[in-house]
Amino acid sequence: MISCDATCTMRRGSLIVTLGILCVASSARAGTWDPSGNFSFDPSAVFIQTFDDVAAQPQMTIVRSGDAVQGATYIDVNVLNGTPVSFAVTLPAKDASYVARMYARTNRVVASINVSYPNDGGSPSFGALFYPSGLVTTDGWYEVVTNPFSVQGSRAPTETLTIDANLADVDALEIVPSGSFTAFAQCAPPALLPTSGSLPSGSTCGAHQYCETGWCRDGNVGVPPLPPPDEIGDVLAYLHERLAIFFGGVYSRGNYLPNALATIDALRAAPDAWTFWNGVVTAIHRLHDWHTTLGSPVNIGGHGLLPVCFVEGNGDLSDGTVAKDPSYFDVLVSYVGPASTILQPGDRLVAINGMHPIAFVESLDAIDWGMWRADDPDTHAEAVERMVSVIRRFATNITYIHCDGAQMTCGQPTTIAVTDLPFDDGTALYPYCDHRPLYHLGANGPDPVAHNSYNGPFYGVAIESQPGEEIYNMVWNDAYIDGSTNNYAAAYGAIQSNAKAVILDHRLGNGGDVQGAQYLTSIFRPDQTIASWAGFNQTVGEFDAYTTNFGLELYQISLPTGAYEVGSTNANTALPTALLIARDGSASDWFPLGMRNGSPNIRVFGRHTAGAFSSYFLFDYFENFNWRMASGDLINPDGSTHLGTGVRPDEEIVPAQSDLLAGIDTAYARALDWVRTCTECRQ
Amino acid sequence: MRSPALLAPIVLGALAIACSTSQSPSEPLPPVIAEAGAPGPAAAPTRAAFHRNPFGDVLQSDNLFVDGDFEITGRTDQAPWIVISNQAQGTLDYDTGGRCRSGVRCALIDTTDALVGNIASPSVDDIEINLYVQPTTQRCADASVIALDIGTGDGSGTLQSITTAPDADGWCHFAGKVTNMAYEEPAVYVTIADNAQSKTLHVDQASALPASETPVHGALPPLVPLSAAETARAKFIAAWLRAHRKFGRNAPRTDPR
Repeated sequence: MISCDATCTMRRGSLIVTLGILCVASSARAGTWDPSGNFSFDPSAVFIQTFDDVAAQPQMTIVRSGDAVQGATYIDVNVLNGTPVSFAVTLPAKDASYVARMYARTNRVVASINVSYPNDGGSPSFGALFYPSGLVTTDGWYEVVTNPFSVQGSRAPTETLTIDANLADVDALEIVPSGSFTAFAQCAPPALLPTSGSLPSGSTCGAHQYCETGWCRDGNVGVPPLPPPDEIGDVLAYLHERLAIFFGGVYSRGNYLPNALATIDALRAAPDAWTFWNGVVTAIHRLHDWHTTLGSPVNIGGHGLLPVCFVEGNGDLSDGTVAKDPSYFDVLVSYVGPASTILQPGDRLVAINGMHPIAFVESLDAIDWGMWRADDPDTHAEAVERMVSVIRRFATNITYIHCDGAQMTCGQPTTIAVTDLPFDDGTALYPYCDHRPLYHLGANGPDPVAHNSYNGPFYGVAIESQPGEEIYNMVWNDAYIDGSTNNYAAAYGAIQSNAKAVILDHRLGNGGDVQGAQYLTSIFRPDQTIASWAGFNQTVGEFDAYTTNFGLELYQISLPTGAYEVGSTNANTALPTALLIARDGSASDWFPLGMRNGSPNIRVFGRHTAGAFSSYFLFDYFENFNWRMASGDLINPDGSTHLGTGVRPDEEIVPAQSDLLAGIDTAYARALDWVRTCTECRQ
Repeated sequence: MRSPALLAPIVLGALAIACSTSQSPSEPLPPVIAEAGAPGPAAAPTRAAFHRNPFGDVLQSDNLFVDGDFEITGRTDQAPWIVISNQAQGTLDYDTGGRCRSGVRCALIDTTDALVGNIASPSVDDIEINLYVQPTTQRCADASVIALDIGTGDGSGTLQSITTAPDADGWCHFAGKVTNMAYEEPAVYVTIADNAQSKTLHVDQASALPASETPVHGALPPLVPLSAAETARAKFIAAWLRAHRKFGRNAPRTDPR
């Protein structure tokens, strides 16, 4: 390594001028501590921030104290309004690779060196994130570092340091040349990556890079450092055991856990940070579980205007042109935002990169950090909900069939490059994708443009209700009662008092808690204990080698604290009640489970739920790198378990293409017909 | 505790600070210092710097605590450790660096907090629990460490510190053997004891292992039955957690952009 010579000089909060020999380093060393506990910046640093003379700014306190890492001042960051504190950074006007380091104390920091190129259309902006290096001091400071990041100084970038934290001290930033500069190339996203076994083979990009939105990205900048050789095996073993001990229930441990553990075990020889951490994330995705998702530090926006919501459907007007897939429903455009120009309701998305759209989305478990799967292998609404996001990030082209609502005809498949989508300037409204083609509450319902159904519950007399019918409709997305706060009580009170029939529209269900699920069943069906929650997976091997006899025993053991008791003794079992489901998980699995077969006055329409009959643990590292991991199972009175098998509706029904073109909500229309015409339901 | 070698931090002081070429063999080798970090040389330096595994005590990969070392534990939500503060879940405070016993992060609780950590039970074996607490006084009795079933709130017993006073680094080592808790929901909760003078406690490096797999260190201090107040608190914690168990997703919206 060649470092600066003794002519190096440093300037606080500014570019360091190097005289004579340029700082050209193939690897960097940290600032150092002498035996008396005094810190010195790395002399090869090209930028330092001592925080000794920074200007005051909101969300930050300047602390003058003798226990600063360096100098007499540090900052305490306490961001309460969501806007991180920010400091200008100036790096040399040349193409080079750097690492950044600084110290934090008391709490976590979520910090990054952000590099953007506002002056040209070249490779996009990025942030290099800070993670703990393991270097700590006796007075509580811990060093955070980035992996090496390349900056094209020749493109006049804008560089900043941003820090988000809740009461964390920060001091002594240094940026040091390190690694080899790499200019990012344009690329075509991968069409298909393996879903098990080996690590992703990548695409046209180089080592520790991946292809996203047409550009190679350096995966290293978003993830923690690669554990050193003497620690990597222990880190992997620890993560392996977290999954092996605590994950899942009977079905998911038997069917998904082995693949995930094999993925982790294959990472011992990972050559770089991206391969290692992306591999860990891939393993988490291969747990194939509705709760088990990432809160991702790797989050790069897509490109192309596509304000569209898709839905699993029946392409009845186009199946003669492109046959249905034997494994998946067709994917149809359910509704669009005002700015949509390419696709319209009723159009059919035939393929992404030549694959069935659902198959494409679900193939990306080794690259898409937003991957989200249901436990039930036959449930795919989660993939459809995320389809726009995935197209804009990972697709090369899409193939669709446009249909004419006036003529009720559909054309031939058309393929367009994602790069040919209209430019997205960030102003267009993307509607919330809630699997509901239409609402039926008029002014009492969600905004039919934004589809803001997450602000529910919405309820009232359905717009189709005729005088005397008193058909009520309720639209909501959760099953959650927090102690004494019951957001459903008013709606249920109105239904109990006034409704002669009700259509419960829970086609998007994010779950909540058991209390919520129990309450939502309470006014429609008789009281019954239908299952028992056996708690987190907190007995080693509890759900392995599971037998019916053991399940019967576990059901009895768990009943005193885990009984899932649905309905009530004062339910109105003569009230025709249609429940619509489509993308529902967790407590929104429990709720339909409590309704299905509960009473002749209840009928369930739609798609399978996720089968996510568990709770979860949340693991949370630095930089918002966190992941939920499912734990536990729901036990039936016969000893069988629920996790992995979604609730099957009485009538499996999805939107028809012809209905979407005609402005008809297929599943709702069927439910409406049922509550009007059913007979046994009123007895 | 297993594998204490991992915990031995290394002083990185005395590395050259001048502009220089690559590290030379003549540079001083880092001396090994005590586990918790304060080396205390004669010159009484202001601080020492040393290395920790940022993922904590991962050598104990089979630790039956969901996350024994707080390195992958967040401050809210359904984390491996949560803090019950003033009758509801609060925000878990950390401390960091060498003020912790291992890794980078540790928990910091005050007089209003009960820190609850989830454990798995072996299917048949008893559970040996070890956990380190740092009071602000010289009294290990300032901390209360209780093993319980958070399904029912039934307490297994109170763990005792091996010593009455903290070690040289200020840490008290609590240990005990808990009878097998298969098909229960084992956990510990840590509080500042009722008669304590400490206003805060650091908590770190917790481990739970099948008793038959732990090294023989001699007899562990016996568990002490819970007091009436501790029992009431255990029942409250269990009821609160049971009523607030989460079955769902917080984030209602996927940002398509």
